[in-house]
Amino acid sequence: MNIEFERKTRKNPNLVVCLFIGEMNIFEASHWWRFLYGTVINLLSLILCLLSAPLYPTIAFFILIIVGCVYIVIVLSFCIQNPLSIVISKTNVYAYHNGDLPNRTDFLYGQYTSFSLSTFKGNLYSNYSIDYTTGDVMNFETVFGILFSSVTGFLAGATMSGQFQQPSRSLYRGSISAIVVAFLIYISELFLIASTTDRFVLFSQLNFNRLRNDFQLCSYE
Amino acid sequence: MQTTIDCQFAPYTRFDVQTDDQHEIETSLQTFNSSINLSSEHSIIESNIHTVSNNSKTFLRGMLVVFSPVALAMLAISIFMRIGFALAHAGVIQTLIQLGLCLIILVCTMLSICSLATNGKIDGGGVYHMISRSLGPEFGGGVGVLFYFATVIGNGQSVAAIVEILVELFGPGSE
Repeated sequence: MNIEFERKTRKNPNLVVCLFIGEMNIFEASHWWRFLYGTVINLLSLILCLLSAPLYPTIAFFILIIVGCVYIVIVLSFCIQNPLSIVISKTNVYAYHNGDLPNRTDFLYGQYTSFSLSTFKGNLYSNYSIDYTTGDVMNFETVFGILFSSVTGFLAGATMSGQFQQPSRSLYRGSISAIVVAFLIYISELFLIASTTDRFVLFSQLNFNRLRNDFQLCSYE
Repeated sequence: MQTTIDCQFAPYTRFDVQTDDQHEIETSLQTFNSSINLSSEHSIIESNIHTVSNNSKTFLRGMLVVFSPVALAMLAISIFMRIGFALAHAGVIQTLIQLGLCLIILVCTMLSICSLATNGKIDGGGVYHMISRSLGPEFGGGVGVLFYFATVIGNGQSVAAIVEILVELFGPGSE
């Protein structure tokens, strides 16, 4: 697969996104190796918890700075990225099974249009269909369940209530401001994706952000 | 002897916004204490000045301590992967409706927790502590056990996810 893919990439470098998965063989993929990695991570977090609890907000603050930098990079990459085709990875069996490809070795492509009104209009209304990772038909409730389960971390501030001096004031101001900031970021991200990315890519590739950024790296080389 | 009386009858100075009842209680306590001894009033004024001077310093730090875990928990993997998924299936309008529903639920829960937090002194222990002190030990115990299992299972899921991402990014190829 890799040789043919590289030949395609050389022939038409502006069309194809390089997939650099599997370049670095640091971690093993078998089940017990994964178990070992999980155990090591658990032990590390246990040591961190035993060291001191007041370390936690400091670490969280620095991780928050990193996440903010990542968000700024994502917004900038939306702004400076030219239109390109994104290859759908072969792990999406559903799209390859239903797509009308003449050859079995060909790749499916989705369009990343830069900011355009027609893309935004195409993304405007609902179109519930089959989720390719599970094969189930989505509806309003399942999508809402996935969205809601990803925002339910807001009690993390209340569990830190022993750490600060005036819980009555800082608890509600900090929590409400964090919720408002997080929702502003969600909505801005939503509009950025909706106005730039074609719907077929959204349906058939969950991690298209990574593919987009990989393309820039490989086009500069 | 005098210090114990101060501790017993000093007004509850932890609140920054003083309601009318508290102000009334404070003035009555001040007159009461001044009727005991004049030095007690002096100590009350001193303690008030002390808390006011501490306000701006500890307030920013406390807000940061609350802000960063909450924002970090809400800006997890969902912003990078699941917004596109929800957008593909639900479209812009319905995704905005769903986000609004999430916001309503979160703000309602948060306001009730904050009302619990502002109406009593809370120490460490977080939500379990508040619920067990306000609803009684039965509810508090049940909620505490639930929180324990939720934390343990959430930790397991986080570890599984981080191993998955490590193996996918730095492991052998997926195909």
